[in-house]
Amino acid sequence: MEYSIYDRILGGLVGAGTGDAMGAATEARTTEQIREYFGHLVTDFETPPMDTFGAGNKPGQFTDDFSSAFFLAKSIVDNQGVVDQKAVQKALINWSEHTVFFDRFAGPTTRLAIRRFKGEEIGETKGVQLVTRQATNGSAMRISPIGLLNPGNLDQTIADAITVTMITHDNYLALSGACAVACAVSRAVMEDADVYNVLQAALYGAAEGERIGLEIARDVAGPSVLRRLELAIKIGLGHGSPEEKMREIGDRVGTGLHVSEAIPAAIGFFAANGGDALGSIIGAVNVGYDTDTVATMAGAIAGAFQGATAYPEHFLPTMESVNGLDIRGLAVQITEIAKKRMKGGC
Amino acid sequence: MRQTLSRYDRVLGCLLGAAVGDAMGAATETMSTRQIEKRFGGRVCDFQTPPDDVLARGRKAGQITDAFSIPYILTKQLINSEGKASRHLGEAALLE
Repeated sequence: MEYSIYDRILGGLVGAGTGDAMGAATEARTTEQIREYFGHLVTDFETPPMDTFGAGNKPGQFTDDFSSAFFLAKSIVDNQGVVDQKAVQKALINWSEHTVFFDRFAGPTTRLAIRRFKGEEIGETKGVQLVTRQATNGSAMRISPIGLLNPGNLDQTIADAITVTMITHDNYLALSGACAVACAVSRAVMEDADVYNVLQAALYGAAEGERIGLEIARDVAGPSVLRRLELAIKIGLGHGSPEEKMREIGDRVGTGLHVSEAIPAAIGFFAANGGDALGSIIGAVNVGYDTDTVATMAGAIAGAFQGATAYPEHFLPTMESVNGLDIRGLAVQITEIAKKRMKGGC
Repeated sequence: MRQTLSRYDRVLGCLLGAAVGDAMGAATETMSTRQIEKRFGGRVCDFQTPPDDVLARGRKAGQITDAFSIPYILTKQLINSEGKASRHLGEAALLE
């Protein structure tokens, strides 16, 4: 099929949205609990069970992951593609006023950051200090549009991903994770993308994010995103079926809230499924734990790699109508900016 | 092995090792290796006073936290019940 940058960009958005909506139904469960509850692996939109965060959501409805990515992307395209502190803060405040996404789902680090730049004084309590000291996955989960806006330009992708991440997650591990995802998406959206150069871009992003992060951001305790990513890629490209690799990634890399679990796992699922648009998401959705976030990132990369046409036809219209968000309209706007940048060669 | 250790010595060693780990770790909790080396001028190999920005702030060097105090109380309860573990005993230990 002929290369279409629009289809790839739309694919990145559909993949991320699909991962979020599918994962909302499996979040916090184990693979066994998922199979027991649904009677099969989850491969389509399902109604989230009543005992999980997504309870009350309809099939296809988003949580914080893709909804915050959507608002971030919208604010940046309205700012002519320029990523600055004001555009990011505006996006997050706007998003936080949509209670359907924010009130029930916003994570600890993001919630605190939004309160801070809305002008609230945050007391230095024990709990707050501890929360902000954990390197969590909340910036990487919404970073994929940065890669879509900068096709093939990894250094601009890293610069923009850092601007976005420093506003909510100012530690070096969060920067490493966000740059890894953004760079993978930036490479995946190109015509000559293959599984290997997308994985190389992810490793480059993780290394650069870590290096720059140690200079400009807070140091923080925790395992290295880069080293875990090497492990996840080794599992992903190793032998075994996608389902065997799913278990290996879940058991050895981990699929939890920590940035050094969720980001390497997401990229590992892309590798384990040969970049397959839906397979990468299905792995992340059924591995258990923080499935919606891992699947959002895996879907963003795999969707940008294979394009929107790789997904079942009902996914996009279902997500647009259930969430009331114009995903195609956003893809058109991102494509305009991405095309200009590719021609300009900047 | 230099010599055969007595059962008592092994038991004491286990308790001592756990308590030492807790007290030494109280000074480095939540920090990265880089931050620990910077703060203490190298690796921590003895009891240190916990810095002001960790959970154990205000404690003395060698003072334990929840990590050893809970097993200490639990062990005392177990001794009182002649070593029989039960859910009730576990709960009582945590309440104390």
